[in-house]
Amino acid sequence: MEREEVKRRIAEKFGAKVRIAERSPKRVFVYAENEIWTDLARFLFNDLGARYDTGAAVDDRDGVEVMFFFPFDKEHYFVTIKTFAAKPNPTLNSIAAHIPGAKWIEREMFEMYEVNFLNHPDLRPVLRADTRPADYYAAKREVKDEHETVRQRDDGEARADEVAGRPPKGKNP
Amino acid sequence: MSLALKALKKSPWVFHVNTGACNNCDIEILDCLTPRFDVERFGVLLVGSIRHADVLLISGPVTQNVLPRLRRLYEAAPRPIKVVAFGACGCKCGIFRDAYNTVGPMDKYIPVDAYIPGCPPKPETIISGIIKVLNQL
Amino acid sequence: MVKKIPIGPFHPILEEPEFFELHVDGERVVGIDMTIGWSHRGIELLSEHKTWDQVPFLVERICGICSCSHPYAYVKAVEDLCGVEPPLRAQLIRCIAAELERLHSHFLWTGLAGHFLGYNTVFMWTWRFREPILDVLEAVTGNRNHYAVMKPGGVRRDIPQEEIPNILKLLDELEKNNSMLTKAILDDPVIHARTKGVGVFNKDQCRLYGALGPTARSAGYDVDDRRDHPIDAYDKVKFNVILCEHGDVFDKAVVRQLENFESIKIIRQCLKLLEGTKPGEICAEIREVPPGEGIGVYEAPRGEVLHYVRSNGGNMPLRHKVRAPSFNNILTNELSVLGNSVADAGLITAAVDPCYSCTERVGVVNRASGERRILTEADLIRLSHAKTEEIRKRFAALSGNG
Repeated sequence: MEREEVKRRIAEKFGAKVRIAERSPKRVFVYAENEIWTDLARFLFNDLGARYDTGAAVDDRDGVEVMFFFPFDKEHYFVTIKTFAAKPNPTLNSIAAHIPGAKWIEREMFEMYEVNFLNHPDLRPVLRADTRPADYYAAKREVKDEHETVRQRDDGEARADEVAGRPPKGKNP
Repeated sequence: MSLALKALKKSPWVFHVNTGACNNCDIEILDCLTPRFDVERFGVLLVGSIRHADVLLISGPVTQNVLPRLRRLYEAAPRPIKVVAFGACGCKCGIFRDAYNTVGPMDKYIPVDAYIPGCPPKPETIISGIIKVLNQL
Repeated sequence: MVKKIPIGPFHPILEEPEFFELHVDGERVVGIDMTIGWSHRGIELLSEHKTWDQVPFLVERICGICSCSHPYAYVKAVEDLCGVEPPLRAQLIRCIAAELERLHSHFLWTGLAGHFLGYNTVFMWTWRFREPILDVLEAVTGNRNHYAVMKPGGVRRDIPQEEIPNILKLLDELEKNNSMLTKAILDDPVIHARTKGVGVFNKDQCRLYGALGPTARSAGYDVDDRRDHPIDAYDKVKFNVILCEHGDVFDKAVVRQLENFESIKIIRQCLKLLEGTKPGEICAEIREVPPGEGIGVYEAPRGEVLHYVRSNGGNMPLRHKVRAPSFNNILTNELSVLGNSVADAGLITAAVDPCYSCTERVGVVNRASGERRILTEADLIRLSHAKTEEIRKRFAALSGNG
């Protein structure tokens, strides 16, 4: 479906609840609130014939912005649905029950940003090690500051060895 | 040299482990088996089970997820075992040194006998490295 | 009575860690649980501490087989953000490197699939045919695998004129070898019996799961970003998109074999177009990256790679999202292994060409009695080889009597 037609039909169906921004001939961004974002996604997927691609999340300071990409292949452009979940306890409706391909990406957004997807069939971490604590959300802004302090080089014996050109220690059993 | 080590030196059986690497080092190891480099003519075989291994070839910066399995694997290996850290990630974590989920390099957790650097090491380097390991015996 | 069989994390057929737990009833698989994350290194978080030019070196090492795909999608995302178009010569060099990588990746997969099925000759031959591709890549880009040829705005190195005859010679040889392989593999009745109807994933399921690449095209789901979201020189060359209809392992092999011919066609056309460009114009300079967002997509050997970057005007990305095609494709195993046997399960999970590696042990858990049987990688391969042998004997008996 052509870009202008898609924009018209979205505006017709959802009216003032969405804001459509066309950044370039190939990139259209649609901002929607949590209440209707799943309806908008299903409208694009089922009625307008878009392809489900994937999702992404960004931690803005006061909440998590979640976006899903729905390309229209025949017409060579991407429509990206953006929605926002405010902190604390960011919560969004889940689309995984309607589009099974979204199951893992929503789990990843949950385990990285603590976004709670309501009605997800199986919301648990997908990449996290089982030795990590249950409330370790790696990409949350608060947790990232911790990574950055650990990222200092550890000035210990290993560093001294490296500087002096001594070989690393490994024992022969 | 004891009889066991003499037998070992003739034909080392290699078990390969990937602790979260990008897979390139592993492809280069498999490349060594292919007709152009053909390590099998030296008696080096890639085995499918840790119980048959003489040399443990480990690549990858150790990720948090893999660490307990790596430890268990090392404990399950029959002795004597030679451990070879493979690739830039295996030796010193490579480009993933500051990543939050990599806890390597592996010589923090298990003793390593040889390091083969490179990203990825070329097959010629791999063969030369394995021969150096064998000469250590 | 349903038993559970864990496979992994260290898979018999590919080299990256992956953990599957198969639920079996007798010999049939009735369910699967997948655990991934063994190779999770936190690359998206690392990108935020690297400058725009340093990120391609990082994302190259997401995967070694498709090591050109991730930098390509990333630089397209940055160029989408900045609104910059690289010069034609850079576009052509990028396409040439990318298609060479597609060739080497498809040969690699065919070899591994053959090895798993019990055809060690196929493994040895395809990987031997693959070596000249790596030689050409080394002569042109400097390294066999991590090429470091992409840069936001263009490429880092030019193709020397004296290498072009070598590339053309390589393409002629590859075409011959690929024809031979295609005929040998696709006409073998034992391979037909082993792979046809196995691991079926149909078109509607592809749509719901967002399957990509050869996995989707084998089922007839028509998605190829080289044609649909053409970047760089892909809209200046002509090629076909290979579609099959059944979505089983056989079709996945067919799609990959036939795509090799298309890649050879594309490289030849690109080399021809290269003659009309001036050597040395290989990069459009990007002075600074403005605030905004960019989406870059590229059709990797396994499917569409998507990179999303967001900038706040600084010299490092504010957010870099990487989505490899295997993230969508591995989820399709949920449905494609159902109803098949344990001997085929390894083959099906490998047919989507996952960018992982696995090896370690397969454990069989009897949920009722709690008894645990461990199968090693050697056992799983032996199961698969045994099935191939049985089929071969059956055919031999039939042709002997018939």
